[in-house]
Amino acid sequence: MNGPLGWRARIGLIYPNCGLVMEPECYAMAPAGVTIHTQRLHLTKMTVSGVEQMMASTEAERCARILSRAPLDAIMFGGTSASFLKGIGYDDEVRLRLQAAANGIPVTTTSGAALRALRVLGVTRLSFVSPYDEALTAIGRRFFEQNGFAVVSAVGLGMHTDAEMFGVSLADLRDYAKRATPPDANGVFIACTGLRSVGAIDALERDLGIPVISAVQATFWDALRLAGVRAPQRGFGHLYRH
Amino acid sequence: MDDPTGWRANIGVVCGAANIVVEPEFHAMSPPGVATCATRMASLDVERGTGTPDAEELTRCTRYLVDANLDVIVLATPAGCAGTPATWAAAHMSASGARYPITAAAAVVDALRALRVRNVLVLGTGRRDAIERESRALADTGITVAAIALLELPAGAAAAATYRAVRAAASRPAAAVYIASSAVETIMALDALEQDLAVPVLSTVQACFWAAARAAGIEDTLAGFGSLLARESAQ
Repeated sequence: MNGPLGWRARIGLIYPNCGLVMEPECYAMAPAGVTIHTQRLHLTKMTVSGVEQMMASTEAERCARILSRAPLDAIMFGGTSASFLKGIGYDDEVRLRLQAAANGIPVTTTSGAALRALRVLGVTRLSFVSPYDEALTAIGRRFFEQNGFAVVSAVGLGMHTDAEMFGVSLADLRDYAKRATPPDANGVFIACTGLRSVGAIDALERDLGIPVISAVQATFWDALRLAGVRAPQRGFGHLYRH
Repeated sequence: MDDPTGWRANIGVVCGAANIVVEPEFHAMSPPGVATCATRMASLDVERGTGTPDAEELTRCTRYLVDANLDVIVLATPAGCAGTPATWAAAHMSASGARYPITAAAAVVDALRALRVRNVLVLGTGRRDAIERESRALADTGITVAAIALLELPAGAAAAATYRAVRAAASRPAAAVYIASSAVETIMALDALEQDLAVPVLSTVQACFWAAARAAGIEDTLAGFGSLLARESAQ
């Protein structure tokens, strides 16, 4: 009976309202003493216009303000496309918007965290694996190219809802990512925080022999870093042993 | 490949803006395949025992969780803090589309009945008038409130601090103790309190999780979080 539960760090999460994956996957990766605290924002559909509509409103800032009333050490903005939507620099723009609204609590965004994670692991030739439709996949490809990565493959499953994404099992994801990754890639990024991923990362890294980063994994890794938690974790890929 | 997501059930939770207890305690009690999906009400300051879940906020929170097609949605706020009848909140959540809306007030009454308790000592945090409202809500359902007392604990207090405060406050005889707070940690202290006080000890978060899990069809044996969760599985 130690405590309090978040004695090491309390991490906030701003997350699209229909997402079912990020909270349990972050808890699975959380070192002892780290807790997660969520505020949801409304996303009608996982399309370019749906994400644009979500980010054009001030609801994300409202979420950050509400979360900032809790004693948090860092806040995650758990949206991949919502933080790469406008191309290079947009991840930072979103981060600064939310950090200001959260009274200075450090914020990370999924796309910004992914860039840092890929760079830390030395990835240069990227396989971009997503559940998105063609238009969002193309925007994602362009974002990583603009940030200096050679995107050797970019694929999407054409999905538009979290319910569809929640139907993708870890085994399905593993098969999909393996099929989608060409031999010249030296790293994989599994986009979208609505897609299960963290339970498949170790297996995929063994299968492919290259680092595998996922949206949820990278965001939580970066949030732990912002909160000053440096606990290596086994079972969630090279990134957590780095 | 272990899947930590809610492949058996996803439980939606609405808590207060500053709350740091409900989500981790729900997670701690969740068996494999059960996950918590949370959101927060800006208007509700449970930590100070003030605020009212206004209709617009409750509608927004409920609809967001309804859209996620969860198995159940629970408003994890003591009735006294909410300052409104449980029926109001439940009705409002239903009108917002929740199939199985659960309020803390209803969950606690169901839990006390499941334990066949009709006489309870109510211990709350925050403001005394909130605890009095909580007690009146219980009395309205036919449960006798033996006494009420205020636990001098800050928001987010650890389970060890809650244990000591409850031990100090629970000197009056009652058939059970109810810790009416979602602002302080309780679940890790419940087993020890039940052993040492020799009566059932319930808390808001524990009762909410119990009611939500049951509504979602989850009746696993859950040891370590008080007799309510352990007992149910034995039935």
